Amino acid sequence: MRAIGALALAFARTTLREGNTLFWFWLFPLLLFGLLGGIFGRVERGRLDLTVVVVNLDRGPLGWELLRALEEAGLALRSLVPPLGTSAAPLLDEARREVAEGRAHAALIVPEAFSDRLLGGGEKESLPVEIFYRRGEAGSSTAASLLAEVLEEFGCALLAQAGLVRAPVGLGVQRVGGGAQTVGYAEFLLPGVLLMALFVLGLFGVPDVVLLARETGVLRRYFAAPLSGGRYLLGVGLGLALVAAAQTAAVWALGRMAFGVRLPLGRPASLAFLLLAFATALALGFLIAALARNSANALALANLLNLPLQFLGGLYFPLTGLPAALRPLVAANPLTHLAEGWRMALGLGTPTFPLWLNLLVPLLWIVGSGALAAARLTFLEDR
Amino acid sequence: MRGFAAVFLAQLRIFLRNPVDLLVTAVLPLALVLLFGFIWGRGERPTRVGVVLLADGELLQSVLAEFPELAPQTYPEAWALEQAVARRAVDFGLIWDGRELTVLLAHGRVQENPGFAAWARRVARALERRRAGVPPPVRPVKVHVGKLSAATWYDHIVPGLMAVALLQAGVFAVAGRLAAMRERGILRRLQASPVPGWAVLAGVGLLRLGVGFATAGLNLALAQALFGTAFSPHVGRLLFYGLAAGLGGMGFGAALTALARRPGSAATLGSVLVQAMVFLSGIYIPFEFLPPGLRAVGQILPAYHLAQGMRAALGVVEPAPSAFLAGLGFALFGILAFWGFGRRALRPESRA
Amino acid sequence: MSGPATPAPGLHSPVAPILRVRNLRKSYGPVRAVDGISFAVEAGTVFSLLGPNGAGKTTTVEILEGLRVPDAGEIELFGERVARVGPAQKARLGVLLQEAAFEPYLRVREVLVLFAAFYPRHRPPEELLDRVGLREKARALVRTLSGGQKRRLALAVALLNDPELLFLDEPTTGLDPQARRHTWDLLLELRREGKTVFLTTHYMEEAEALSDWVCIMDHGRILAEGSPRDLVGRFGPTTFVEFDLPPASFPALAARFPGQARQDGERGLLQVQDLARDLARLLSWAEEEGLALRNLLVRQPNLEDVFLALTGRRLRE
Repeated sequence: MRAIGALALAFARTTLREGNTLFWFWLFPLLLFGLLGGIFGRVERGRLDLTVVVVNLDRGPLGWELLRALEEAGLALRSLVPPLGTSAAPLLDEARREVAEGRAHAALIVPEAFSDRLLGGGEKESLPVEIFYRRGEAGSSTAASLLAEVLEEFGCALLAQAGLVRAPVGLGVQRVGGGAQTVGYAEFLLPGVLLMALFVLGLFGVPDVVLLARETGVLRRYFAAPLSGGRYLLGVGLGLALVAAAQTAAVWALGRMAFGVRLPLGRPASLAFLLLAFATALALGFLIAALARNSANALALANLLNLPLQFLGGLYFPLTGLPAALRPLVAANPLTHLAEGWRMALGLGTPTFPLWLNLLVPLLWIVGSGALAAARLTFLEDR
Repeated sequence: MRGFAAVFLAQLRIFLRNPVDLLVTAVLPLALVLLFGFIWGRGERPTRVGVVLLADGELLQSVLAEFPELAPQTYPEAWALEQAVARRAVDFGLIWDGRELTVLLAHGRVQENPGFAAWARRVARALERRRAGVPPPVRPVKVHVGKLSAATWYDHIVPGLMAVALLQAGVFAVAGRLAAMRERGILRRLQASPVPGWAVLAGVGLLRLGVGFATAGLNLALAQALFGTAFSPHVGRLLFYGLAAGLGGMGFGAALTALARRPGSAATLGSVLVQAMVFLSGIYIPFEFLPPGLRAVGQILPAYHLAQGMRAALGVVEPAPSAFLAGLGFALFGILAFWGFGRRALRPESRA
Repeated sequence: MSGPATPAPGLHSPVAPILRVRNLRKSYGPVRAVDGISFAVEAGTVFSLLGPNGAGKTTTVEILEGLRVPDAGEIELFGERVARVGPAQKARLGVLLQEAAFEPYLRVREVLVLFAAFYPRHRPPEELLDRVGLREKARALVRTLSGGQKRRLALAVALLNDPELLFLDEPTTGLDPQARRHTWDLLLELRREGKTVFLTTHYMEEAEALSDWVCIMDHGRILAEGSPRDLVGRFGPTTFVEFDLPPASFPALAARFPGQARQDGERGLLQVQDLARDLARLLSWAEEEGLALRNLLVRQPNLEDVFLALTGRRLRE
């Protein structure tokens, strides 16, 4: 027992001292959580610092009211004002250039007869209002969508003022498949980041303690002492668990302090998934160690496996947009199931797969990897 | 010249045999192009909306027909729709009882729900108008004024990844390969042979630049073949920004190697710093999404301008003078720093 | 002298040896690394396994350290027959492996504390740090140690459990002469403390200077064993005369001294019984041949000669 504890402590210590492990095991999860949480938290609250160029050709009051509505929607406006008595064409060109060359996210052209047309009423045709934007560019399309929405709303408000809307349609929101609390991006992200951290720990840490320690001769020296392979594994396993627990606590604390996240991580169901995730991460580490057989290959293999596992596991982004061809990969990915199951246990949504599959897929990976590792891995090149 | 060719060939062999080098400089960028392609490369797909019609169903259906971006699917009762939303068979749900519209949002879809809620608001207003029998007073008309090649966010990602591939090839040519050769004394051994120092440096540098260009080219080919991107490449600009990224990367690697004290730490530092730079340069995540502070940092980083330059080279954005100047400056810095590294590493009295 | 050797009679006939090995075998594929060797180690002595690189010394010692499983053979350790060396035996063994490999990101003292946790009994780490002269490096990370300091740490770890039997695999290979001298002193000190030391080496001076008992090993077999004095004594009252000799002149020398001359590269070697008479014959032969006999050396036989006589090769070839 003493040997296991000493090994665990030694392992946890060294991860804090080596540059690579210090960064990837300790700093990276916090950094990723802070950055993604901060960035998409802002996106969620609609604070995007979008700049819109406005060419207001309208001479009536509604043009100004529209601009006020745009400012209220959080857009930064830059007005191009036509000098008196000149034609509007050069201004439209300038607005177009501003957007095309990336100095503004979008441009709105308020047409000349804007107030007259809208106040006149009784038109059978809608008044077209042009929005310049750059298709495919995230900021620009967001700005254009926001402009369009404000415009539509503006028009509807006019209809209501004119008494044309006789029966207003009420809008109720109902959230399904979760607990009582509302879920923000930071809540959604936190289990994802923790799973990422666990998998990095397993995928990169296990080949280190099995293959690298063997190659550098450290293992030989350990086994020349009365230390069995089983106790060595238990020791570094406990060390990995120590690091994982500390990581979890650190990410949880950051979520709590920076983003006000309150997640019941200590719930039995949540703890069960956390344990399952830890075991799966270790098993995959052993799978890599068994397949690679030397530490340089293992590093390459771990990198190669890590990326699709994380991107196709729905850790950071929802996977609903994925093409059908990739669905089997998503379904076979243990991270998909761990993320779904854990988020369900935390009251963050309903899994798209049945619960038994959420449990079975990671278990299959554990058993499969464990069997392969047991068959192929030897601690020393020859015993 | 024979010395150079021999070094080049040997480096090619080493590169192809080293799984880690091969992975970092060639395979990972390709994997990213594929992954991002599968996630964003197919353009917009219609939003699936599940509908339960309790009363006045024809009105809602005719409203929904106004929006080609929505793909409606009818459910017999609220309970079935709730299940469908929760299990993500549809993106969101609408229950219409003739007076009130209830929108069902899945609990965990935090990123998409604001967009779905906005759709519900548009549908509600359209319902009001339909009843009043008036057309919408204003009709927004979106006009794309950017380049024709730009259709989706993926069109911006691909050139960014190409710039990263070249940047990384440059950084690891020095901070990885040459630094390792110096640490292991291989550089000293080569100096003890009659092969000129420049031939060694050029052999390593040009090989890695070639690898960078090959990876970037493969990125482009994959994106075009698998995801139907329609770039209009400008060969001169591609070459310029590719060289700027590669040479500047080599200079960056040289600077790191000069700073690093321990064997191998230049490569570690390089991979972390390059990833951080890429993150802050709007290559993985749209630049506008970054908070103002990070954006200010990103704008002074070469990766941001190199990505913009690459985008201009592929006809996705207008070419900007700032990208050109930054590229030129980075390339010059790279040449100078690499030259300085070469002088230091090849100085006769320098120790391994 | 080849083939399985029985425990030597006389002085070293062990009543109860601390370690006894019979017919030990280990093959790697077609290569017989250890080909049926037998020997015994008496408590309180320094036992050396001497042989060139690749003789099977390390495989033998790794089997005895419990790092490898033998294909066949008997091991009797601390008076107990064991199929393989397990934790119970390891607890009483001290081990110095060929390379001093420890976790680079642990501190020196932490390495000792870690290993201390593996053993049921151990000496205080401070005492060992003092003993190997690493006290001021106790808080240094292993990766910052020099090669010699790492060796000393390895030695401290080997002594950590106050072992009864200490395996030292090539302990002085790659050390500078001063560090080698230091290691030798420590070895002799350990023997004075009553420890048993099992040494593998390819330095014949080392085996000769330190050992009570030497086994000469080559190609997985033990060729000869005995105390250094006995082994050398097998040549009888012999003296060696060495001198520079162009290989072309060797046949002439062999013709003049049948059965006594040997060629060793650019050197000629003469094994003589009657030094005065044979030296005079050599000098007159050299004068006839017009040879200068540069670097002439007259010396007593050593273990190197024993090995050369047994194998026709030198130890360090």
